[in-house]
Amino acid sequence: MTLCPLLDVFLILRDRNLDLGPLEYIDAVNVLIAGHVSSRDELIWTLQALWGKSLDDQLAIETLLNQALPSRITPDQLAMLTREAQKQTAPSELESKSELQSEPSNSLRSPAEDRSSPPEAPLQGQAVEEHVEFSPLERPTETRPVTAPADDMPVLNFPFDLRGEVPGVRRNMRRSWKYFRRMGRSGAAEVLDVAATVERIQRDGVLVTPVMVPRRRNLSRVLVGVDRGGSMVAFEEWTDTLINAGLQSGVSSFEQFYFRNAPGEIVFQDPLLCKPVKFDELQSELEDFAVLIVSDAGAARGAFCRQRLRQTQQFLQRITAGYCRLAWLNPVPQTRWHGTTAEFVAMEPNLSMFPMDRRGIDAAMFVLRGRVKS
Amino acid sequence: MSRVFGNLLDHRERETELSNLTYRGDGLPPNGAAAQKYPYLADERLVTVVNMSLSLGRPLLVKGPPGCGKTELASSISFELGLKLHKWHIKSSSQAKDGLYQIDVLRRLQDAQGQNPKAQSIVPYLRFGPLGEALRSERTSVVLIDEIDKADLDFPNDLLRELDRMEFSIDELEEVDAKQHGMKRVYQAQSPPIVIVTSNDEKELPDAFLRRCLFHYIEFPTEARLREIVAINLADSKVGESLIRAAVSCFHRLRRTGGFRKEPATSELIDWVTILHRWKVPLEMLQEETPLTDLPYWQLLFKHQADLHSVARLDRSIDEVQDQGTA
Repeated sequence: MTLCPLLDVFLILRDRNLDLGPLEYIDAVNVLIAGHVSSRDELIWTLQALWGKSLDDQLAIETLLNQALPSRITPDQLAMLTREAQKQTAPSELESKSELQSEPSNSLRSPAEDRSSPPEAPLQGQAVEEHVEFSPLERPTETRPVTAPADDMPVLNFPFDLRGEVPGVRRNMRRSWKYFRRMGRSGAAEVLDVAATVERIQRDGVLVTPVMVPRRRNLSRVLVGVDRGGSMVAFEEWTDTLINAGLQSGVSSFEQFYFRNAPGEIVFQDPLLCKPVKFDELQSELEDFAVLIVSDAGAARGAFCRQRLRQTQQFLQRITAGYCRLAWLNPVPQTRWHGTTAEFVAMEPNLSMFPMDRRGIDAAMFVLRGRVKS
Repeated sequence: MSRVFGNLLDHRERETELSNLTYRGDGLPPNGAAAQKYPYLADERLVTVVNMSLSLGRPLLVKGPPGCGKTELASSISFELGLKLHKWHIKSSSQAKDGLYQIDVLRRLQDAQGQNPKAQSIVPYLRFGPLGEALRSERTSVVLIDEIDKADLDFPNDLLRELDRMEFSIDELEEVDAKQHGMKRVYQAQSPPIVIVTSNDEKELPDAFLRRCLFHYIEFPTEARLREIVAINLADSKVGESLIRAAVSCFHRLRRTGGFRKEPATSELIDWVTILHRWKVPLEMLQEETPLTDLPYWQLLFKHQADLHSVARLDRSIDEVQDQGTA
């Protein structure tokens, strides 16, 4: 690859939305300088512990490092690596790197590119001429004439393994779910309210009983309906991530149901649509619930279906009778809604439909909280 | 920008007592006496990560399946390095401030009502929590923040300033009051403690907190490692090696069937081997060929009725297949 594999991997991880900043890079350099790393394995473990905040992140780091580093590293090579990495923290280097970062994904290297490109090609935009020393890890770079790609490109026989490639999506969804919090006091009165107690003493002149209030809790309750099967098969991974992120976000009560195409009188308790249940039974507690529907509403098929629209309208009437907060997330991009059932569902009163990108999910969370974002 | 980074590099390299300590993960006390070995073995990767945490002075966040030694790691570190251990077991009602200090307001109010002169000062009602004690102490210590994901989402963020700068301030305490009683308003750690945080991954932790910590996931141990762990935990009971080997092998067979609501973990295995040893179960009952449901006291390993049923069902189906084969 290039002169400083550590910096390359760091920049690629940043492109993949891992939460990394210059301080993290400096920490890694400091650990190397302090001499705590004495083998290739320890280098990988170190960077995983420093930069990876979840198993997915750590897997991404491991994959990239295995590509970037040679299979064996001698202590001398490790020392050279440390020196190169440290040099990158010199002021002029970091400024030029930060300029690189502001360029719109020109420096983004997808894993497919990594596998097929020849290992000597320098990182785009890096000023190679400035470095007089060359790392013994690579041969010195030289200008090459433009050639056609080699015929013996490796054939990808294995299915694409995206684990560790896009850890950012899950993190963004978790962040969005955190907006859905409704703090309130409920439960047994077990916390002392100091201000109120002092006021009571002022009023009564003597302390008889202190004022106790219930603890503040997250009272958010959500009922999520997910469209499964048919046109939603392509989005299953994505909607499952959304559900899992919601389950882990500390929402006080999280119920889910599943349906096909449009929710009706009967919905299902499991994603395989095998355990039917009457929606009215779920609805009995709907007053303080927020309801989130995740469905393409016909946008994936690209056509208008009157029956689907009618079924959806009937369902909406059933819900909104309970005055609960309702939001709809559509995994199909908003530009594709025109001319489909989704366009008409989106126009229903009391319903806010959002695309399932980051902004859309955040907006949906605001609606679920009861604060409508204009 | 160059100036900023220059300063930061120096700041991060500060020498602390921590940087001179090394964790080995072998269970031996500081004096190296093998007779007092602590029953906890850490693998190479965990040892590397713990030493990195010591060197950088950053908290270490540990996750992993239940029963694989997340909480015991802190005890192991404190034993091997000869340091005091402060345990803070988080509950769902825990507030960040409670780990630093607590003030018994009600008692002070009652004393004030009763004209008790003690109520003039807040100091008699001030009690320090585990993290507060660790930051106050002159020697380095180990702080365990156990099951941090049980608390509210904001809890880890409330601790950020304290963990970053290793200092805390007591807002309710006035300067005059503090001086009279020989206390301070702001406590900065003389030697920063080692902070180990465990999480069961039930809730996601805030990003700002995650960035401060190093992260390590403890995998479930391999069969060979399990044997070592059981041996070291039951060293006092003098359990035979062949019993341990047979029991661990059967345990692995059970675990491999999979699909459990709660998989049997290390702690269940240790309990099981203890019972097998104490009640003198013969080795013949723990062979490779023994059907799973015929293993003595195998139910001890599970906590859910559904899991017991699935093992029994699996055994029955194996029997049926074998019968059909022989018929």
